[in-house]
Amino acid sequence: MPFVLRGSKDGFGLPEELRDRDGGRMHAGRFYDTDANKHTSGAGPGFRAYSWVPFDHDGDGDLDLLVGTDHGGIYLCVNEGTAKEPRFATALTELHDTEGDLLAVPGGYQMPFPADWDGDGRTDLVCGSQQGSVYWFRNTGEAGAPRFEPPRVLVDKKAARGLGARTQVSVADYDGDGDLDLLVGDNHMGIKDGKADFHGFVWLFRRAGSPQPQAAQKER
Amino acid sequence: MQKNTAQRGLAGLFLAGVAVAQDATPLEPAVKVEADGAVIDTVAGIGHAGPLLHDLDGDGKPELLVSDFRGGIRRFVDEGERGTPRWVEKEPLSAAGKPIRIHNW
Repeated sequence: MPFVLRGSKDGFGLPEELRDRDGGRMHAGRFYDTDANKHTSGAGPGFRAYSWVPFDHDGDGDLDLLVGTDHGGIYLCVNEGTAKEPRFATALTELHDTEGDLLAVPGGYQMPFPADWDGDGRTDLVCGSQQGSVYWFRNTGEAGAPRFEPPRVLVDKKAARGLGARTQVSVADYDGDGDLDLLVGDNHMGIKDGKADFHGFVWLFRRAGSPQPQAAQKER
Repeated sequence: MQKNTAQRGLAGLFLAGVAVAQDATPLEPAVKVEADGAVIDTVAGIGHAGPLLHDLDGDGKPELLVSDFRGGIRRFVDEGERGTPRWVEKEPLSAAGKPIRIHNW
């Protein structure tokens, strides 16, 4: 379910659960009912939503939500209201790539990050995955009518030594050199002393050709 | 032509065995991001690191935020020189005076 923490000069307010235009719970099928304190299944694409990403999909000046799910794809929750008074749709809309397939990464676990990866003035989507590879959905559409191409591999898990699974991506100019780099969070699960042992690291993939930072850190 | 959602779910699973186009953007080999001289690890938060760079305090230098499975958000500030971030962990992101915990699944 999506939450918002409203900012002010005094800091962030307490998390507020977003509801749809009818006051209903927003989910993709399975969610944690915070009132009943249990996992619950509701009507939806049938999968669990892992991320709710603000994104003006229709170019009308208010923020819609891209919904990343585990086994499904990336869906759209339309804001039928305004920027100041959002009214989110009661149902999620399927998104498709330019080949007509569901907008999805291989293996699922998608948490899309909007960014203009190729610098063409269009907002693309960069997305991690269950098995760890990072994908790029290139936008070839227009403002208010994005057209996302099928996923292209930006980071191949098999080639990225040490990279774990369930990757979550942030795209930003990490080193201030004017180009976009990738920050990739991951998950490692093992057994230690008979118990489940989890680790999560943050990996930096700098765009090649950039000047090396003075304090470069070696991969361990 | 649109397909049934359930069929698409199965199709999505089989995509793992199908070649996906490789983008040509060259990236440097990965390095683990460190803070305070140690690798950042969300071990206490049951893994599932979720990073975000964002200038929260408006000083022109982004902070590094890292979420975890428990729903907390760790905060790191950059005390390095421009172009070479040096992360120092501060108190976690808070709301109304308490560390944020988002029940996220």
